[in-house]
Parts: sequence; structure tokens; C-alpha cells
Amino acid sequence: MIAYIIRRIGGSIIVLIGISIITFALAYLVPANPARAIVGPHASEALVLKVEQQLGLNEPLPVRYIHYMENLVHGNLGTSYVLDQPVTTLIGQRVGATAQLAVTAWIAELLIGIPIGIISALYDRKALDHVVSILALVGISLPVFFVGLELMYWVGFKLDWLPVGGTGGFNFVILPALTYGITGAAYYARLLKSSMIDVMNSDYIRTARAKGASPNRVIFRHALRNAIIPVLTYGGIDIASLFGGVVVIEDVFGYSGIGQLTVQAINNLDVPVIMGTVLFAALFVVLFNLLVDVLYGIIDPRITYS
Amino acid sequence: MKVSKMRLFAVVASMAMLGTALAGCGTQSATAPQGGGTTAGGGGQPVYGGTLTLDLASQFPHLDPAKAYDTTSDEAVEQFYNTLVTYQGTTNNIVPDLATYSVSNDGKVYTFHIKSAKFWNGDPVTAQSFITEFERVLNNNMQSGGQGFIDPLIQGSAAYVAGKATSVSGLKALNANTLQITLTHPSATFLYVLAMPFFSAVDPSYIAAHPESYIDTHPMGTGPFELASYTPGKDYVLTKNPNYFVKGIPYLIKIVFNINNSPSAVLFHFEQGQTGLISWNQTGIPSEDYLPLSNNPKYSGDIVKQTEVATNYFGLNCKYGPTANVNVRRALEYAVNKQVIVRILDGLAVPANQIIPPSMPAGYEQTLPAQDQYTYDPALAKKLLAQAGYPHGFSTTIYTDNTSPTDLKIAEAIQQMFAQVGVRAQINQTSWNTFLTNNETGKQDMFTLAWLEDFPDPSDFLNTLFNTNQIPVNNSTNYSNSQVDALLNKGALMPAGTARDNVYKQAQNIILSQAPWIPLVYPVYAAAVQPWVKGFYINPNLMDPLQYMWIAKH
Repeated sequence: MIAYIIRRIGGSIIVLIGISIITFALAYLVPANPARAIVGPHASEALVLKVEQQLGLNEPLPVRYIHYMENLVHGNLGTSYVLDQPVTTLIGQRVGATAQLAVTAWIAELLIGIPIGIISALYDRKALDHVVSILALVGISLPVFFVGLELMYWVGFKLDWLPVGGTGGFNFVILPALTYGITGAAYYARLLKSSMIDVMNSDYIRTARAKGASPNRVIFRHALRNAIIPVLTYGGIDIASLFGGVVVIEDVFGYSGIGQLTVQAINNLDVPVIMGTVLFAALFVVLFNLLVDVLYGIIDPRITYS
Repeated sequence: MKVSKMRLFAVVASMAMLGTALAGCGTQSATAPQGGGTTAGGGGQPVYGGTLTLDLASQFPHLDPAKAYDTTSDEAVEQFYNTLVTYQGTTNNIVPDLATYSVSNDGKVYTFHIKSAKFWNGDPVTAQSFITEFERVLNNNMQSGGQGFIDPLIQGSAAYVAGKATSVSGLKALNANTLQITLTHPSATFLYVLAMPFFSAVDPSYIAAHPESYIDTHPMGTGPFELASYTPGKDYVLTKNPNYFVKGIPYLIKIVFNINNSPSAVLFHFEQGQTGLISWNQTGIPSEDYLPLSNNPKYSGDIVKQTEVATNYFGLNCKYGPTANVNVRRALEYAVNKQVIVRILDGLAVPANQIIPPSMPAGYEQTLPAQDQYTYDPALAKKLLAQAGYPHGFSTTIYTDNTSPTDLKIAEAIQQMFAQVGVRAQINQTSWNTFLTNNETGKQDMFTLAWLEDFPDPSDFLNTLFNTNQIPVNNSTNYSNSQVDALLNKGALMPAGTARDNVYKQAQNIILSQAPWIPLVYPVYAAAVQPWVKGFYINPNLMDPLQYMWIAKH
């Protein structure tokens, strides 16, 4: 197991280096010079050249990349061209807000998606299945921003139960998380339904029923534990991407997280921030994938690592 | 300031200020707003106390006046810092801020007598407070957008910038409270430059004790409000400076800027009464919110509008491609229906017929010479194109950016208008930064762009955008005319007045006749003010007057 984890970490580092090369090249291939934007139209050419020098923009791309990676190894992600602050500081200021939103949104998806999945499986092709399936289809079909705006309008503005937007305590997280829950739950429901139907038709479930196990025990103790594995796989990737920034949700609700930072950086071609946020998101995806693989073994002892 | 068309909604102007000039030499004291410009929520006796809550579009990029060069930063910096002179109320009139002043007869030596004022930490404001800031702006390592406004204008600045001098010879502290600034030549715009936040008083001992990055996030100024706290990603809290050097203000005890750039949330917060103002804190009413607010009878009366000192224009390359031919450029002037652009901008614009906007105190022409009047006439455009050697039109590219959804709509509208006269244009839309970098090479066939004033003087438009020495960064159409250059260079050295204004009008007439630009529209700024928020007004050159605002009982 430990050897497997070490191998996976090695592979993950290669993946991250690959992502950094691609992102770096793409960001710098776009013809945009931040120096003039920083000092404005009245600055002399000498000052513009000086700023280019200070930002290292006059060096060849491979040299710039090597410098970037040298700094990265020392925990330095560079300084934002626009905000003139260390990228680590900017990410650090927003990671808490994004983590709070990501975890809450993920829980909302599970709380909505898993019961729908179970009900759909248990009442397969019956009226209740059709009702929840249609609801799930509606949820999956509606654009995130539409659901977000509707919740903002009705729950936040008309009923005034929750803040309509901005960043603050937990009450600011509920509506964005619920938006994500409504639109994302259907994926979990569909995955769980098909997986659950397979499991419920298997021999050991029949055996459990024959031995007199209660329906709840059969469902939650025997069936769900096996049926949840594909959900776990998707869930791992899902929460990892949420940690990278819930871009649309953050934008709709004006929530100051990593997603907004990324969007603003892309609009401004603030390359150090683009690099930092992309690597940060990639790191989470890699880490959570690893975590999910390890959890497989714990949930299902039949899975072993060699 | 070169800006995307949408960012222009971050700019104000004053129609009411036509014909105003610099106020006299330094006998005024800083005063509350006067004049008949655009105000809202005024009237009644000011009430002390209260908290004004606002939604802020993004974190303030910079709180260091030497670095702040955007409207969002200036919204805060103007509350934290003071300059030697400032603008009076809603006008373009220069009045003393931290200093009264006198000017020598040759127009080259300015003497400032600094008022008794203190920084928030109790340190006094002295002549050195300004010398330190001027030197910071000139320091290349500061990367200040203010450098170009005083180098080489202030004597000795060029040597200081080049590292050949350790101080600026044109900046002298005659005593603790007297500052003398010597220029290399007289300048009609120097006082406007000094009113820019770049040239605020800073505390030399505070500057010396802290790294620049700290100063950029922890201001130490003389302004009416102090920064009490900043919670990253959440809010800025400003509290009243009880020792502000202007007695009687500010009225508010606290201002809370909640960081929130969601147009929907901004609208709902305003309608719920949670926020008092949508203005520079959002760089004007977000375009998505303008129609819902203006169509709502409850709020339509709370919207304040003013034409900006800015021009949205369509640049035509004078050096490359078919538009290098002046007759082609003149033909295209007749192909554009500017009313369509106004409609695309939800009516927040006025059709433009010249470079200088009508809200500029000087240079705008009520009546243009016949050869500079281009009215929408596609048939004439087609005929002129044929006469210019393009009876079947030509193919070209329109460059634009994606700062707002309306950017593409404007480009597409012009694309269709050009198609009617046989010009086949494809659209190249990129991010603002990419567009700007590309634009500053001077090689774009055609482009949509806007220019907003740095200060209220025609030279800021004409010299910056049409002088040959500005090719290609600001003069990105590559327009070059020796007669125009001579006029612009002459105007730069003349004292303010009718003779100088006429020089700029003459230059503009020549430029318009050669059509390097199709002036599209003069954009209109719109702000929303709650009826219980009083004292708000728009100055064409400054951000929100929070120090003069108060909250009435409601």
C-alpha cells in the first residue's frame, strides 16, 4: 500500500509539472504585455522597459519557466501583476471561503442526490421513480446561473431569509451551496440508481433478505455500501474541482473565492495568479484522486494494491 | 486614459462645467460642493453619525497613491489622502486642498503654503511630505503611472529618473510649510496634474519605516476616513478621522465596503435598502442593473446621470491597409449610424461628432466646419469609396475587446453598417490586455476604443492621441501631420485662455478632416442614490464625495 502511494505521488508530481508547462506556455503565448497596463499610457518607454525587466518579461520563455519552477520549489508562486501581492497570499486569503463553499456544496449534492438515487432504484419504473427522475432531469438541465438567480430572488430578496450575495459567515454560503446541490445532485442520483439496481439484484442481497434482514438493513448495510463506490469515485473528483473554485456560482453570488480570483486573473492576463490558481486546483484534483483510490481499499477489501 | 468602452462607464463628466477655468491663485479654502452640477439627495441640514454600506466591485487594487491608477483604487485613496489642490464641488475649478498657492509671472515657479494638518498617526504634514511622494512617483522601482505626468515637466526630474541625481532640483522645501516647485516650461495643466491622487501627502517617517508592499495595503494619510480594517475577500471598514483638517466634515462615522461584484446581488441589496449608493464603488450602475432600476418607478428618480468627459471612437489605421487613404477614411465616416450605438448602450450615451467631448471645459466646438461634418449616409459612403478606388469595397478586420457584452455588439453593428457599403469586416475579439498590447503596435486595421480624460484639458485628448511623438502607444492609428504637431506643441507652452483654446480647435479641425477616428458616442455615467443618502454629487474628475455625504432619518 505504501509503495503504491509513493508511486502515485511520483506520478502526480509529473502530472503537475506537465500542467505547469502547458499553462505557462499558453498564458505567455497570448500576446499581452502587462508592463504598459501597469504604468499607464503616459509612461516613458524607458519605464516600460524597466518594468518588463523587473517582471522578467524580457527573458526567453524557457528561462522564465525555470525561474518560476525554482521559486515554486521554495513556496513562492510569484507576485500578481495587477494586485502587486504574493500569489500565495491571494490564494491563502480565499482558500477558506472556497473550502467552506466547496464542502457545503458537496454535502448539499450528496444530501439531495443520494436519497433520490436510492428511491429511484427501489421504485424502479414506478410512479415515484418517474417523479424523482423528472425532478433530477430538470435539476441537471437547468443552468447553474439560472437556479442561482432564482434562489437569490425568491429566498434572498423576496423572502429575505438569507443574504443574496457577497462573502461573510456561513449564512452567505447556504444559497450558493444549495444552487450547486440542486444542479449537481442529479449526477449522484443517476450513478447511485444504476449501481444500486445492479447490487439489489445480486445474490448476496437475496440471501440477506432470505435470512430475514429488515429492508432498511438490506438497503443501508448491505446494498448501499457496495453501490456507493462509483459515487465515491465521482465525488472525489467533484469535490477536488470544487476546491479549485466554483467559478460560475462564485460569479453569480459575488462570492470572493478562488474561482473569482481565477476569472479576474484570466481577464487581466495576470499570469502569476493564473499559474497559481491552476496549479492549486490541479493539486487538489491529484490529491483527491489519490485519496479516493486509497479509500477504495478501505470500503471494499476485495480491492488490493500491488 | 485609454479604456475599454465598457470601462468608460467608470468615468464621470460634467455638462454644466463648460467654460470654467482654473480658479485664481490660492485664496480659497477647501469648501463644500457648490455650483449647479449633477447632485442628488442634497438639501436639508447635514446629520452627523451613521454608517454607509456599499457593495464594492473588487478589492481595491492599490491603496498607495503612487500606485493607484484606476477608478476603484481612487475611490478609497481619495478618502485616505489629500493633495495640494483639488477640484471644487461639481466643477473643474482648482481650489486649495492641503495648500494655498501662488504662481510666478513666467508661469514656471509654483509656491505652496501648506496648511496645518496631521496624518492619522499625529505626524504633521510638511513640504517634505510632498517631496517624498513626488520622488516615489518618479522612482522607476515604484512603477507609478504618475511618472509621465511630471517627468520631464518638473525641473531635474529627468536626471532623478535616470539615476543621475539623488534629489529633484525643481522640488524645494523653502521651510517646513512652504514647498516650491519649478517647471522646465510653463504648463496650463500643471495644477490639474497636482490634483491627481498620485501627488498626495505621505508621511516620510512612515514611508521609511515600512516596505512598499505594506504601504500599499496599510495607508497612512491625512484624509477624512481611516482604514479601520480589511478582511480579505469580505470587506473594508473605514472610520471617521476625528482630526480631519477641514472642520465640520466628514459626517459619516463609518463606511463599509462589502466586496461583491455580482450585478444581481448589487441590485437586490440596493432595492432592499441594505446599500446606500451604486456609484464608483461599482464603477457606475452595472449595465445589467441599469434597465431594471431605471424602469422601476420606485427608483427611477434616484438615478443620477451625467455625460462623461470621454469619447468612444472607432480608430482607422492611417499607415497600413486601405484606410491609409484619407478618402477611404472619410468615406467610412458616412457609413456609421451612431444612434444604433446609443441604443446598444441602453441610451447611456450621446452621439459624438468630434474628438473633444462637450463636457470638456475647452476645445469642444458647437459648430464644426463643413468638411468635418459627417452625417450618416451609406449611399454617399459607397460613392466616396468608389471614387477612392474601392468600388467593390475591401476586406478588413475590426479589433475589439471583451470587457463587456456590449463590446461585441458594437463591433457587430459597425460590421453590418460597413457591409452595406461593401466593406467586408471580420471581428477579432480578445481580452482587454491582449487587445491593448496588440493595439499599441499600431498595426490594427480598425479598432473600437475609448479615451477618458486624465484632467480637463483638450491637450489630454489631442496631444496624447494625435501627436506624431505618441505613435504607436497612444496614437495607435499612426496619424501624423506636421501642421497638427506644430499646433499641439505650441498649445502645450501657452497659458490657459481663448488663444490656447483656439489652437486646439484648429488642430481638431484638421484632424477631423483627415478622419483617423470615427467618433462614436460620448458615454453617460449613471449612479443610483437612496433618497435617504444626502450630499452626493458628481465631480467630473473625482470619485464619490463620501466626506460630504450623510444619512438622513428614514
